[in-house]
This record gives sequence, structure tokens and C-alpha cells, in this order.
Amino acid sequence: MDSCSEKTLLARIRNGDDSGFEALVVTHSPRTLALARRLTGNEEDAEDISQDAFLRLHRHIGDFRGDSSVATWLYRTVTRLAIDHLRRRKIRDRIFFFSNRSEDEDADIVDSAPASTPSPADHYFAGEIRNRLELAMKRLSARQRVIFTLRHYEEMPLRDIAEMLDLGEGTVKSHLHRAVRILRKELKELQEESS
Amino acid sequence: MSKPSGISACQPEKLTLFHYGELDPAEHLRVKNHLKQCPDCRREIEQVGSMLEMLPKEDQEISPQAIRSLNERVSRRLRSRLLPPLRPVMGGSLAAAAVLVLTVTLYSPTPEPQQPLSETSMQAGMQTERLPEAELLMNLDLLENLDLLQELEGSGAKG
Repeated sequence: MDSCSEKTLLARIRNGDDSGFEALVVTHSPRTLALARRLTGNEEDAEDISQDAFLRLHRHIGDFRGDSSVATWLYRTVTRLAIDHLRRRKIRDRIFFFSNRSEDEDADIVDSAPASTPSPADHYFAGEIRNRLELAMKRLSARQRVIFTLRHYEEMPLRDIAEMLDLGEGTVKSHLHRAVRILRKELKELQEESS
Repeated sequence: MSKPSGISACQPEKLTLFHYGELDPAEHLRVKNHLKQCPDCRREIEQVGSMLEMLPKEDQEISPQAIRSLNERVSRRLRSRLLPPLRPVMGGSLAAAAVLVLTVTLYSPTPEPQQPLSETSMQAGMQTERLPEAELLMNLDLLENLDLLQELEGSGAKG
């Protein structure tokens, strides 16, 4: 959606046209869901976070000045909500000793197959990587996980991540390095198996 | 990077940032030159790179159902938010009316000569006066049951 049609749509929504907001949701929900899922590793959590982000957008649509695009605003909001969510999940896991993932949660990570036709061994290994990666990602703090995900998967420059999270660039760099170090330690065995 | 002294001297954080292309040009060049003469760091950055390349990087495939479900959820929440809150108001009024009727029925005041009071002080007074009365009524029930028990006990002892 270009900025001009977005401004028109926002004006319609401000004048009470709810179908305009629904159009906005339809446009942005695939990317919002994908990001939330990438950050949390869970489809249900991704849906909850995305819904929360859209409802916040609707609540503040009157204050939306258009300094940034709706996509940027949603990206930022989903990221922050994901950090809150991951922190809560970590605390809950610590309290209830749910340190191991349930089979249902694991199924979320494994459900996408590699693009090329894999041999059974390749398929097994790809699934194993995803499982171990998700377990390793759980070892990261909420910030480390989000910063690593944004840099590694979303390929967002660290400067932009720092700005989005209101953090210093040095802090973001440290978080990224620590995340890589932890992942390397956790995935060392797997790396040795693959080489 | 096998020697501890090497780790501090070689700054592994810079190797991570080098991998991601996050160093400024001068720093990037310094690390690049350092890598030429440091086998530990070369091994380190190779291992970091191969670990990161091993991670699956395919796009997150979001099912159309998940997108539809989200859109519906948001629309539903918005509709419920935009509706005038009739139900809670009606429910609240009904509950308040029921409480009022019960209060008047149960604790209808005995006609007593009273000093004229202002409306608000009268309401406040009613609230403070009615509470002990309610407790007293409950206590009376208890006392009646106690009396009955004592009577039964007494008759049992006699018999």
C-alpha cells in the first residue's frame, strides 16, 4: 500500500469508516503474523500478539500522525509486545518448570518442510535442527531472542533495531553477540554431527 | 581462539559483527587484516558462520486460515468495542433495583419519630444503622437455634 492510499484510508477510518480499518487489517495481517510467529515461535501467541497490535492501532488511530507508515508502526508494536510476551513466558516457565516444550508446541516449529525434495535423512536432520534451534532459542533472554531474530531472519540493520527498541547501538550489539554465543554452545553437538 | 589470552585480544564480539557486516568500514578493514594473521580467529569466524548458515531461514509460511482467523478476531473485537454498552448498563440497573427492593422489604424502618434530616445524611445514617440490625437478626436466628438445642438437651437429660 503506497503512502497516499494509506493516508486516504486513515482519513476514512478517522471519519468512522470501520470497513476501512478492516481493509487495513487484511493488508497488514500476513506480515504482522509472520513477524510475531518468528519472534515467539508459536502460532497461537503470534495471533494473540497481532490482534493486540491491531486493536492498539485502532485505539490510537486518532493520534496516528503518519510520521511513520502503518507497517512500521505495527512492526515496532509487534516487536515490543513479543518482548513482553517472551518475558512473561520465561517467568511462567521458570515458575512451573515447563522447561521442556510440549509435543504440540514442537509441531509448530516442524510444520514447514525445506523447499527442495529431501531424502528421509535430510528431512530428519532439518526437523532436528528446528527442534534444537527452538530449544536453544528458549535459552536466550527475550531481548536477545528478538534482536537475533530481527537481525538474522528479518535482516534488519542493528541501528534500526536499536532505534525501534529504544536501546543504544552498543547494547544491541552485545545482545546479538551473546545470542550467537549461546546458540553456538547449544547447537555445538548438532554442528559437529552435520560436519 | 583456543587460548584464553587470544579471546580477549581478538575480541570475539567483533567477529560476530564482522559476520553480519555491522562494523564501520575502518573497523571492518582492521578485523579483515587481523584475520589474515590469526588462525584462531579464522577458525572462530568459520565456525560462527557455519553455525548460522545451518539455521533454517525459509520464510514463515502463514496459512490462509490463520490470516482469516486473525482478521475475524479483530473485526469481532472491534464490533463489540464499538457497540454501545447497553447490556452492562441494563444489568447494573437491574441489579441495583433488586438490591433496593430487597433492602426495603427486609429492613423496612419501624415508624419512629425522627428529627428532620437532610437527604444525604439520612442515607448515610440508614446505612450505618441497618448493618448492626442485620447482624442482630442473624444472631437472633442463632440464639433461637441455641435455645432449641438447650431445650432438647435439657429434655434429654431429664428423660
